[in-house]
Amino acid sequence: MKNIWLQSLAITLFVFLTLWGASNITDFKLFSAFDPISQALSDFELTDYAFSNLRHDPLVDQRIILVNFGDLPRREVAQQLQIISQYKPRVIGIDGYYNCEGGLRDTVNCPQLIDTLGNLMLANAIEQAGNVVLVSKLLQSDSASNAEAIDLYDSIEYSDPIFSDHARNAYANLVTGAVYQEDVKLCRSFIPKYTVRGKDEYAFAVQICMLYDSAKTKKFLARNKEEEVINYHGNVEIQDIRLKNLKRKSTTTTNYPIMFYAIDANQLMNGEVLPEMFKDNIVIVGFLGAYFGDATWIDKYFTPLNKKVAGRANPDMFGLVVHANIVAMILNEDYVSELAEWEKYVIGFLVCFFTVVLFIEIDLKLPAWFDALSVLIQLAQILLISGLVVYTYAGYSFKLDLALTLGVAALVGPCYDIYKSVQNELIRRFTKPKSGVLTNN
Amino acid sequence: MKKGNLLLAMCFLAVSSWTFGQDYAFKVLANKGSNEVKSGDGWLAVKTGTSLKTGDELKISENAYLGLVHSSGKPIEIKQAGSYKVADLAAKVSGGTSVLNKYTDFILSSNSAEAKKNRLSATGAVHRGGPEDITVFLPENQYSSIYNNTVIINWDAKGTGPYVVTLKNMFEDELLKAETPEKSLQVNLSEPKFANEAAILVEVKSKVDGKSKSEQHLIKKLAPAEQERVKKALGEITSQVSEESALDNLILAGFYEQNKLFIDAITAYEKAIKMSPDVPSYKEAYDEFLLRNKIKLEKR
Repeated sequence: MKNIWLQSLAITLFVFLTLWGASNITDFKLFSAFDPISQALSDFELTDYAFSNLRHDPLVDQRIILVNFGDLPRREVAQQLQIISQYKPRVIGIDGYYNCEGGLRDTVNCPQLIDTLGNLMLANAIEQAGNVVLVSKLLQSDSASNAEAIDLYDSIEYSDPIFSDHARNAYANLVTGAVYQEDVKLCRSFIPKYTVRGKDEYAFAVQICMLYDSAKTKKFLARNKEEEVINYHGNVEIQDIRLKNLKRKSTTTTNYPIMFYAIDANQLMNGEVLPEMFKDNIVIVGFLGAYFGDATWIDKYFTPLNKKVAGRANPDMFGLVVHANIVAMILNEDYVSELAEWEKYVIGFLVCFFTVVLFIEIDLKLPAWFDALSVLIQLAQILLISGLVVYTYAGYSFKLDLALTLGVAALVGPCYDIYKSVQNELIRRFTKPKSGVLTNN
Repeated sequence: MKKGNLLLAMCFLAVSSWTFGQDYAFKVLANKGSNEVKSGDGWLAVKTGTSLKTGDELKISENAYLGLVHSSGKPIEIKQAGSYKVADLAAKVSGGTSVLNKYTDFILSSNSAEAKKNRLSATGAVHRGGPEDITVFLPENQYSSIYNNTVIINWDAKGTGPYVVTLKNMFEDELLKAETPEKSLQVNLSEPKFANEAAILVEVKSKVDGKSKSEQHLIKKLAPAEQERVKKALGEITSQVSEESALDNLILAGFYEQNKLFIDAITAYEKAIKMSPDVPSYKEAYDEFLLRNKIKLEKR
């Protein structure tokens, strides 16, 4: 029996060694023939199935009101702010930058400077409101960029001082693989807090929550996680479909209905809203298209709520709604829990070890059935683990990242065969045949 | 027994107060289009945040959208035009689906409708026509610099004239207001009222329909240093070009275009066409210039 445990341990280590080797070889891109598949699936996670199709129907968060500023100039955004402010919301977030990008302060590169009166109106509206959170942007300084530092942000870009001086500033950066703003953006998580040159900066949604309910926000920050998975619950997806035969078809990008109040750019100014809905709530002003139904991709993200979990698809959520989902997550204390890194290794090791024990037992007692049974066990394991990952995410908001366990479950059969073959060959070579052994008889 | 009755009465009170506390069936979360609600006798426009009662009715217009939240917190969306009774909508709000049911639905649906699709639903073309009723043929703001003092403002409009052309400074002070039945106006920037203005805003409106107006366009005088540079470069070709013939103006238009002085190029093209109205090549070159620099969009 002791021999079986030792044998199992040795094979388990061999499986992990093989997995490590395979992972390093693919890093060298030796299997370039498989690139299209790996590229298409690079953004895929098993938990996306849970988000996309299987989660409980969410309840609307009536504390959050999204106001579209569309393509309105600054002076009209100022009017929007004045109107909102009259209705006494507790916090107003503005998801728009009011500066000259890259510091190019001339009227050719920054024509918005021309409307000096509009700028003054907006600055005044922000100051009068007194409870505005304005977005900023984490950036790399030239030196960090030249050193090709990864995920090191040592600089921050604010809106012009006439606006930012009268607001709390918080960065709107979200974790994506995008190289630049117009790139394809897939957002699953965000960074709640980042220290820039010794000063703690909060994410936009975190700062909004801090002003709305500091106790809950501090509790969230006390989790002390560098990166938090966003527990998406819903979307705001209003389409402009004029063809009647298309109206009957499923044209939305997500399966989830509207989750927040949403007001279009002109509706506020035309008095098409009831003021009571704003009182003591959170208002976030930002971009939801030039108008409701605008099919633009500007500031639009792929999220795990997308109906298509892998391959090419339409982006499904405006950045403004991503921030609103984060706010809802913090205020509802509905976070996503994850396995610690060491837990992933322990689970992978245990699954592999006991599978090998089972294989050895089958090999000893039912050698004729070994091949068939080992393949069936592996298939059952992979299906079970995949189902478990999806179910725990859909039902309990627990991200059971068992990619390593899936990897070892897939490799354990072939590795067992290789190990046994090598072992048998070594025994055959280094063991003298019975006829060659000298005995006293 | 008495204790039991008291408990029952308290439970009844609690349940009834909760039931009547929900004095609405739905609230309007988002509204697109001219949707209406009948509450009482009359039909009223739907406003975001409005509470809908069980006895109310809704009228959803074409290409509209209405997002509602039920008193239980569950959302419902209406996208199809037609009349709806709020009571019927409330009845549709289900108790929710379990994860297991969703999983079964997902497995069963994944290989049915998804795979069978019409493949010619999309076209490689677009519907054109901007939201503005009046399109002014002046360049984008980043190419709005002008070297000379003559500006020819042309526009296209859906309706008929007369039109009011307004020129303002950066502080929205009116510098010039001209009325014209034509779709063109020539402005001389050497007039004293423009002397101290480095940048001028142009807007064209219909006199008949005040809502029918163009985007605001910018005209920016070149800075002295830049003026000098252009003057020097222009000097090299003016020895051969006198601005007197149509061909000379065509050559000048090319020079201005090369130097991104599109407003001056427009003026030069206009002069060339005016001088030789019978030669179609000038008109064609002008059209090509406007399209090439996206001052005018091709009609499809």
